[in-house]
Amino acid sequence: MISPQELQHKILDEARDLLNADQFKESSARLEYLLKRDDLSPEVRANADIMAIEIRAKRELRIVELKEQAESLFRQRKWEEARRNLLEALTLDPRDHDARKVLMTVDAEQENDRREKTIRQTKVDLHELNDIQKLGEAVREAEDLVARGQADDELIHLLRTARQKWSDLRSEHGIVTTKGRLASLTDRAETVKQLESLIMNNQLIVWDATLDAYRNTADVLQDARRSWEERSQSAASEILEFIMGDLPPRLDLARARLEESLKHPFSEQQRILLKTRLDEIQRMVESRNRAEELVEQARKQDNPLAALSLLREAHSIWSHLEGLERRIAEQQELAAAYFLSATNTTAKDLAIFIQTITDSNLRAKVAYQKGTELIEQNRWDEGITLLEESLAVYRQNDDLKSHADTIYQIARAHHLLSNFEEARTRYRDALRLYEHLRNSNGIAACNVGLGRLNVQTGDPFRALRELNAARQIYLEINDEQHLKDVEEVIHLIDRVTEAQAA
Amino acid sequence: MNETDRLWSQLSDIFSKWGLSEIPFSESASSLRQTQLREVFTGRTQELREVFNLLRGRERKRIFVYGWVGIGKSAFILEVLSALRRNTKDTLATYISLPPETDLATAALIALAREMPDDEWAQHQLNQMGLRPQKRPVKKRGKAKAGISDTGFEIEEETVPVSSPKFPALSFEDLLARAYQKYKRVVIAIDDLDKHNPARVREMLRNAQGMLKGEAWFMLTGHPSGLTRDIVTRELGLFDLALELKSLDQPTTQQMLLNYLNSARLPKAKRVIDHPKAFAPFTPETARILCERSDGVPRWLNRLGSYILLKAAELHADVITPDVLQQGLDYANQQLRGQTGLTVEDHFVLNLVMEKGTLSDETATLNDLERLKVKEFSEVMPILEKLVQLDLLRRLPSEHAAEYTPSPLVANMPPPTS
Repeated sequence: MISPQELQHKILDEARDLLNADQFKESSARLEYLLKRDDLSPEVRANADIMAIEIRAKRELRIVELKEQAESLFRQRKWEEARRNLLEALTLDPRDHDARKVLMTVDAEQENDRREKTIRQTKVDLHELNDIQKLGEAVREAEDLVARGQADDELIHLLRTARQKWSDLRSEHGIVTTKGRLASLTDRAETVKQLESLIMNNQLIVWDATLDAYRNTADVLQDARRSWEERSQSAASEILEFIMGDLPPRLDLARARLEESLKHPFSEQQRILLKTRLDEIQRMVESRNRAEELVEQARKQDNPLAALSLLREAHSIWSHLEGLERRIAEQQELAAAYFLSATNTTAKDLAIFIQTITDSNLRAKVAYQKGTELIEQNRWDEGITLLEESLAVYRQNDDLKSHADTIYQIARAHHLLSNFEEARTRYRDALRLYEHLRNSNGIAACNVGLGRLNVQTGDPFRALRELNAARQIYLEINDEQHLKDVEEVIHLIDRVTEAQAA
Repeated sequence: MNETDRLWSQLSDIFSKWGLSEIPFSESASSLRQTQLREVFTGRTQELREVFNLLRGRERKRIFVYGWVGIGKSAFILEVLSALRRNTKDTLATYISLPPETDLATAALIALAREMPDDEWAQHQLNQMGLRPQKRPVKKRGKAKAGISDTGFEIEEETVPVSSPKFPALSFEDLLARAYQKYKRVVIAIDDLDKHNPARVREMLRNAQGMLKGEAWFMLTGHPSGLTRDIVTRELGLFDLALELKSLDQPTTQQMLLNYLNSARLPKAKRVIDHPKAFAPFTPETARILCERSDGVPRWLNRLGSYILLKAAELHADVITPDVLQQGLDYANQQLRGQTGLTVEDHFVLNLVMEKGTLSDETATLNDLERLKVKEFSEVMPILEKLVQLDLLRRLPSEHAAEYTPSPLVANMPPPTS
């Protein structure tokens, strides 16, 4: 445990250390503590008294030193440092009037200096005629200086010019931002270019009249671009919508409209879209022109098949030519008639030709006529092939009369080929349809076919039943020629039957 | 003994109780071995006599055997050919089922070449067509081996590229001429004409008239309808005998059933028709019902017999009682209707025939046809014929119409009564 004497020595040592570090106040506080004690040893008291005198002397010396330094700094116009020294000196001795007086002089000089600097800077800023924000701030600062009576003539002159320029800029940029939002496609495109130019000229702030505020030029540019794109898109849609409505007959108009549109400042994306569409329409125009040429060639062509081929080619290139499909149909009729009239056509050629007829009804009709004709020429298998071709079409549509006629002809062909079973089934198929249609001639023809077939297969009774049914119909419809034919067969059967019975 | 072995043993026990070594029935005569065919072939005495009479003559003949599906046409001509082989040394009897997309001359060429295994040219023809010859044709090529003095030649085989004969009729004629160097008579049997497109067969017959009227004897088979009926009726002079095989009468059918059952019995266990257990495991009564149900059609007898035995084995039935028989018939019905390859359209047609009882080109109404989404009976014919081939329908032997009715295998007949 430390003794009171040892503690007194320790405090005294601390006071010494603090004095050596120029911490006069802290050092004095420790000495004061010691000197108030009753148990203070005489040795410590003597040392403390001596140290108190040392402190006082050293503090005064320090104050003189600080004031001298402050004077020097004042001369160098280093206001802040001079002020700091004077304040330290006043801390060591608050009653030092010299230091206080000098401190007031420093403050006044410092204020003068700041005002001059402001005026200088304001004059400089008033020259920033393209930077709307800097110019605006400079104008406000200058007006403040004028109000406080601190402005000189030069500043007043500069303020007058700058104020006009600032007003112009506000007006100009305000119009730009408004146009960028609301104006025509051209104006919006120009706004974007203008804003880009401002950025290139380092004009980073613009006055936004709509928002009544300064804004970052890049942000305004972004808004303007978006606005331009929106206007471009709506305008392009309008044009494309106009073009797409019933395009084929208005190809030329569409092309002209697109070419005209592309003179307007569309955004890049819409420009590409419109250009692509224009290219497409250009190709369509070329196709149409080519198709028209082919149609013209077909018109001059003597060979109906060659003409048909040209028309089909034209159709494959451009199917929208007015009246082309009707012309093809007519030409098909002509080509079909040409084929039907040709006697030396092979069944293979016919089959190929028939397959090329796109109109299924015409295909069926030609196949039927030519098939029937081939059968008359004893070209049964070829005839049957064409008739089956025709039948395939009639199975898919509702033309029951033609359907029945085709089956009847097939039955007849098989009958002639002595394919009796096949013929019988086909006659019955035809008969069913004729009965459904109440077609007397067809019914009678099938009855006759079945009758004759029964004769050939050795069944005279069934033959008579069929033939008599036919006879009855021919009587009813007064078809004398057919009636005569059928009665002849009936008579023949009767005679044979009688002979056999005898 | 594991479960599988136990099952096998159970089945063996059943067959052992029945006195059968296997299920004796077979759907097709062509799948039977010659000895088996001899055992099961029954009846047709009159028809055989007619054919043999013709075969006794010197002048070559063309015979057309026709009858409904499963009536036994293949068995009949195989039996004729077998008899020829057994009884005549100077006859070369050949058989072929007409392959798809093959003309008659090529089929005849294949049939003949196959029966001439020692004829190098015949085997070469088969090889050229990509068919495996009886003896592979080899090419001998000299090949010296240097330095070894005692080595003479090596035999090298070369693959001959496959190609169809360019002139099958001429190739056939050439081969036939070679055959006649060894034989006095060559018989070519071409089976199953009716399994092909009628239009194509018609064309093939027309094209093959020269060959058919040539030096060989021909036997052809077909249905008694459509194309073949026309051939018979038309009297093209193509065939010397058109022989119709009709349904067997009941005694013959029963004899056939007995023959089939005996073919699966040990020689000493074979039974005669008077034996009280002649038809075991069938009772005389269920045998009679089976034969009646088969309607004298061998294929139906075989199919039904096979299904009934399978069902009886499953039921562990020692004897096929009327009840077991009925279950077997139901099983047959179920199996036939569930055959693979039946389309929705096939089922529509089958159902219509089942509903109407008979569907005919003479009586079918437009309404009937429109239910099948067609307007012509001709459009339904291919489906009807397919159903006949599958034993679901039968074509009635009408000369006046194409008439179809459910086959007895699937017809809703009343259950057998004792």
